[in-house]
Formats: sequence, C-alpha cells, structure tokens
Amino acid sequence: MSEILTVSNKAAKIYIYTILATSMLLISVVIGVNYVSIKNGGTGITALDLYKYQMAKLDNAEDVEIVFLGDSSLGHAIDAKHFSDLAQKKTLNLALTGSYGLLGSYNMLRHSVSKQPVKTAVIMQSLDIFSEPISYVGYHQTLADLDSPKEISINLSTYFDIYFNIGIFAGIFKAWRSSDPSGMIAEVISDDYVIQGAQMDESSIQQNIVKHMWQLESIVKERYIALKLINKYCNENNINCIFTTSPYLEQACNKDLNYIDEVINLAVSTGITTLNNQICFPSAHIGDSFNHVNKFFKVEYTELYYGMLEQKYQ
Amino acid sequence: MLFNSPFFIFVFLPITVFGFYFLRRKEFLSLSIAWLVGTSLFFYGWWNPIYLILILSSILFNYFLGKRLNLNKNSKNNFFLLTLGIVTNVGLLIYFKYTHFFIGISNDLFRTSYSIEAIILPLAISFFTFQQIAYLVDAYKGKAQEYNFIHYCLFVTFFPQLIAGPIVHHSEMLPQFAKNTKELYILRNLVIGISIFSLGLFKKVILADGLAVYANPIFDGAETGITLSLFEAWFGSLAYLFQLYFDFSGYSDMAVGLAAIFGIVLPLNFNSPLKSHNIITFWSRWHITLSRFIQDYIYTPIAISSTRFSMKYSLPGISEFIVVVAFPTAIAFFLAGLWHGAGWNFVIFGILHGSYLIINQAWIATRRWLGYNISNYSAIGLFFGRSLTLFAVLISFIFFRAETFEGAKNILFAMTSLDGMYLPEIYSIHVTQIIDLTGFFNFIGIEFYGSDSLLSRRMVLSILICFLIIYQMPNTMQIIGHYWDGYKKYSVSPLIGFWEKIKWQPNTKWAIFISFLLILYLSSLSRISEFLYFQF
Repeated sequence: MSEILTVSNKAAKIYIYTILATSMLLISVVIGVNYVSIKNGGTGITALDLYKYQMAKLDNAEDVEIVFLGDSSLGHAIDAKHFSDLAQKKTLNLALTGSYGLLGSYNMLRHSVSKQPVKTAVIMQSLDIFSEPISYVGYHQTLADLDSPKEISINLSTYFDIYFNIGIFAGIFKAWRSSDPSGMIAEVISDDYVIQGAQMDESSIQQNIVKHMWQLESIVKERYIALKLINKYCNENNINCIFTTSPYLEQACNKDLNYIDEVINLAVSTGITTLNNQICFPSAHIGDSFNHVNKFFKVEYTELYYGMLEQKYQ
Repeated sequence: MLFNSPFFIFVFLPITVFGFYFLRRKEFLSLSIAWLVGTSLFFYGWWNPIYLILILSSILFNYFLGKRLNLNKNSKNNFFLLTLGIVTNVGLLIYFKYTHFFIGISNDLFRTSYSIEAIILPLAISFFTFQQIAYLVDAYKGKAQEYNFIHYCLFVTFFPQLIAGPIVHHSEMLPQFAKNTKELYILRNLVIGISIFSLGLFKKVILADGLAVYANPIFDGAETGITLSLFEAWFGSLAYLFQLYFDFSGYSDMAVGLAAIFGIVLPLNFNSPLKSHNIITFWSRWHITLSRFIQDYIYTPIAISSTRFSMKYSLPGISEFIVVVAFPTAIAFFLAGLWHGAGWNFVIFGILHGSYLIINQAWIATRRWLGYNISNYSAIGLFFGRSLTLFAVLISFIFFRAETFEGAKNILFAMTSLDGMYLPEIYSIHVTQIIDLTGFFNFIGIEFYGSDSLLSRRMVLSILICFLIIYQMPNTMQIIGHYWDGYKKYSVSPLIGFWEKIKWQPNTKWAIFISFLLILYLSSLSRISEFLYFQF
C-alpha cells in the first residue's frame, strides 16, 4: 500500500485562499445575477415573468375599478372580461402564483391602487397556502418602489433566500434558448393566465386524495398579518376589500371541513370582509390540480363568484 | 445542531477549531482536550440541555467502573461489576428506546391496554452506550488501559462522532488524545478535513436530500393504502436505499473530515457497500463500526461458546454449522435489527440479514465442500452476485423504512404485481423517438396510461445517475484517502486506471471544485434536511 501523502504549508495556504476567493466570487455572482434579475422583473422564470405580465396589464389598462388578486387558483377560476360584463365595471385579474402568497397580493393591491382608480379588490387565495410558511421572497420580488410596513421584518436569512437562488441560471438559460425571449410569456399564457397542465384523471385524484389531509395545527397564523395589512390599507384608502378562498376539489373539502372553517374564522378575525362560503367543485370540473378549475368551467365559476360578491361591493 | 446547519458551519466549528489550535500552540495540551469536551457537550446540549445530565452520568458511571475493573484485574467481583455495568447500560437503552415497544407486545399478548406517557429518546444513546459497553468488556478482559478522565470524556462525547457514529473503540481513540505532538500541521489538517467534509456534505445535501423527494411520497403512499404501480414500487425503494446510503455515508464522511480538522482519525464506516458481491462482504463495508462491534462483542463470544459446545458433543456436519455459525449469526443480527429501532420492521430487517448471512455462509461451505475455489469470481458471477446482493438489501430496507408492516407489505406486493406494469403516458413519447416501440412494450405487458404518477422522469433519471455514481465512481476515501492518516489502518482500495486522474490533490483545480460544492450547499440552506440515522 502506498505511503500517506502530506500537504506542504505553502500548498495548504494556496488551497485555502483559493477556496475563500472562489467562494466569495461565486457568491457575488449568484447574488449579483439575482439582484439584477429581480430588479428587471425576472428572466425566464415563469413566476417572475408572470409578475411582469400582470404589471404590464395594470400599466396598459384604463379605468379599472375591480381587481382580483391572489394565486393560480384565482388565475384559473375568474375570467376578468366576463366579470367586467356582469359587473359593468372594468375588472382585471392580476393573479400571481402561490409562491407570492398573501404578501404578494398585498403588494399587487398597492400597485393597483397607485396606477388605477380601483374601488374594489377581491383577494382570493387557495386553502393550502394557509399551512405553508410565509414566503418573504415573493413579497420582496413584488415590492418594487413601494414602502415596506414595519409589521413585516425581513431578516438576513430572508435576503439570503431572495438573492441566493441558483435557479435563476436555469431561468436565464431557458430565456436564452427561447426563440423570442421578449415574448416568452406568450408561450405560457393563454386565456389571460398561465396555461394549465393536463386534467387530472379519476385514478390520479384517488391516489392523491388518500394522501391529502390538512391539520388544524398546521395553519400558519403569521399569514394573517398580511390580511390585517390589506384590511388596514383598504380602510386608509377607502377601497372595498373582500377576502375569499378559491375553489377546491369537493372530495378534499369533505376531508378538511374543520380546517376550512378555521381558515375562514381567522380571516374574519382580521376585520377584512370575508365570504363565508367555500366553493367545492366536483371532480368533473377539476383542472390539473386540486385547486384549479378546468378552463372549460372558468365562465361558470366566474358567474358563481359574481353572485357571491355582488352584494358585497355594491 | 446538524452538521449541515449554518450555525454549525459558520459559528460553532470555526470557534471550536480556533480554540483548539490556540490552546495547542500555547502547549496547553490538556486544556485543548478539555476545550473539545466542552464544545462537544455544548453541541450535544444544543438539542436538549436536560440530557446532558444523562450523558455525564453515563460517562461517570462507566469510567469509574472501568477504572475499578482495571485496578483489580483478578478480583472475583469483576464479573459481577461487569454484569452490573452491562445491565445498567443496556437497561438505560431499553428504558428509553424499547419501553413502548415491550408494552405494546405485552398488551397484544395479554390483551391489556396499559400505556405510559411518551419517553423522549435521548440523542445518540445507542452510540455512546455501545462504545462504553465495549470499554467495560475490554477492561474486564484486561485489554483496556487506564485512561485520563478528560480523555475518556472526549472518547464518548467527541462531537464529530457523538450523534450518529462511527462507533469508535477506546483503543483507537484514546491513544490519539494522549499523543503529545509538537507538530500541529494545522493547515494540512484544515485542508484535508475541509475537503473530506465537503465531499460528505455534497453526498448528504445534494444526493441524499434530492432522493428523499422521490422516496417519501412512495412510502407515504404505501402507508395510506395507495395502490402503487410496479415501477413506482421498484424505483421508490431504490430511491430510499440510495438516499439512506448517501445520507449515512455522507454523514460519516463529514464526521471523518471534521475529526481530521483536529488531527484525529475516526474509523471508516462505509466502503462502497453496494458494490458488494455477497452479503458477507456487504456487512464488511456497510456501517463497518457497527458490524465490528457486533462481531467482537456479540457474535464472537456466542460463537466461541457454540464451538466449545459443538466440539464437546462432536456434532456432525449440518448440526455443527447450525450451532457454530447459524445460531450466533441469528442472535447477532436479531439484536442488530433491534438496535436500529423499537419496532417489528427493524426486527424483520435484522432477521432478514441474519438469514441472508446464514445462507451465504452455507453456500460458501457447500462450494468449498464441493471443491470449488471460493475466492475466484467470473465477470458473470460478480454481476450476478452484485445483483442478488442489491436485491436482498433492497428488500430488507423496505422494512427498515416502512412505518408499519402493512406499508412494507404494500410495496412488496406492488413490486411483484404484474397488474401494475404501467408507465405514465408521458413516457410513451420516449419510446417513439427513434422507432416506435409501443407495440413491443405492450407485448411485454407494459402499458402507458394516466397523467399523474409518482414516477416522474426526473426521478427515473436521478435513480439512473445514482446507479452510475454508486457502481462506477470511487468513494470519498478512494478519492482523498491517500492524504488521510487513517488510510493504511482502514484498508481502502486504491484508484486504478482512468479514476487515478480524479485523485484528490491539494491544487487549485480541487480548491475550485470544493468551492462549487460549498456553494451548492449554501443554495440548499432553505430546504428542510434531516439525518436519517439520528433516530438511532
């Protein structure tokens, strides 16, 4: 067996300095690319491009009175154009994704009010986000030039999560490969929101429903700080804000009635006007996940929510 | 405090290393050991300070008992003292780890419903208990020297190996603490230690945690009664086996690397076990320190007694095999299974491996009796051996991972279910890319249907890449071992041919590569990570 080799002091010093220097360089590159990318609304990452798309919609629209804010469950459930026709008021659906959460919706509300004569804001979020940790990353990515209220504290670890995202390189690569980076969002948008995947079939539903279970204890109460902030903002700016949960698969709803009640009760306790009804759809109406309505029923659910909201914002 | 937590890497470790070498440079050798003891106890107490009382009491009890055994080597009371020591240590382990299990058995047998409040399992109790039992036994036999108390404390509490091994032996650790070397080799130790640590960190954080995402839904689904397809069951089981291997071997590499930073050699715990061509070789390469303990302190004493019994009664062929080989193996691995956890799934795991070893021993004995050369293997023989060993190990680890017997059974049924030979529709694209093989797949019974499955393409690709890594690439010690002080003592197969080019060297290229690994680690910080062997 060969002898154990040794490392000279000189070689060891060079080795350690190289690790330190390379690590600092790589960290700087990753942080720098993320910083520039976020400042420019993202590159090649669907969620960030969707944010750019919604902001462009807000910039280009006129006389918008009603805005819908929330996540993908909203994006697939509400047809803004049809809602505009029903309500006889210009409506925009500014849904982002679940990763932006309620704080993202809070920022989108403030952007909307600053750019349009908004009178009513409907915040519609999926039930599952209430049991997930708050994403300050999504909040930060939608902050732009807005002030950050003192109730929201972003610590070093959050900044690290925001600016140390290696996934940004995959997004840049995707954009570089795309034949038309400026129009990339057009490849994923249809019917005013991100294209849905294939519809879940019955066997997939059954496979997933067995695993599906929400615990009351898993509700993240911190999330309701965002609803309080939204309510406070709406009161200060004379906006009629309404919170509602988005449609969810009926079979899952039936397993989690206590959870749903608790989510709604906590929302009510923040002071924001809340719709008490949870819409649960049958499996025939499902899209590509438990909280996405199939695109063929978008108009029907728009009318359903119009009926529920009509009394609240008149 | 986990090894891959930011607090450990950026706060605890730098302070501990600095303090250690500062004291060493000032020639305060005892203080430097005491410093390590203090920081190790801080590391242990981070989890729950209350259990510091337990570990300190255990140390005091075992140290003074061992001292007593050493001082009066020929005393007639020694056997009683040894028994007291073993019973106390094992009793502690049984109380914390197995009380609920035995209550459950008693309730099942006697149809009672007795229950007690949950007993929290103290971290590392299985490891430090075994280490100290070994010390007591050797002290009884006169094989253990008398050690300095602080050195003994460090032997038990040394933080790199405290929580999840390797299970160290007093004879390999304590002389290192007592060594009075003027040369500190600080930079050399840092370079080698950080490099080994980083390779282990990569295995744990990138490979193991990456596989957990695929394994967990399969096993969770099996527990809740989801019907798994054949491919989901096989790939899910492989995902877990590889996850466990990278998790535990990665952790062991990190432990070796951390110890190397201080100039201390920890024993090797993994040596490419999944490349083994039979189960005997597997156990000489998987959790090596546990196998060593079982062999030295359980198997061998029973085997010696069995052999004497066999010789006394001149037992013939098969009976001799049963008494001398099968019986000690069965007992040893029954206990090894139970050591891993208080549950029937771990008992089954132990029984399975005991059975595998007995069959393997019987096979070797038969081949030898038939006149075959048992040390030569053809290429086909090696391939067949490795495949069979992988299969046997895979089945056993299904029980290891499953939370209930029912869950394990569901996966095993799915693995044999010819009704479940379907792949998600999305895979059908790949079988038509060059020529249309759909007909062939249908002919052999594989259908494409369904849009949702736990068997994603990424999962399949990940498993295939893991196969390549495990079976084609060298392990950590083969890459860097030639610079590691334990290289000669713990035999590591040298790299040959093409792989010699990737041997670690203290040069710029490797420094840059290690930096990339550390950056990958940083990018994973927001993910939840667990060490699977912490539960033992």
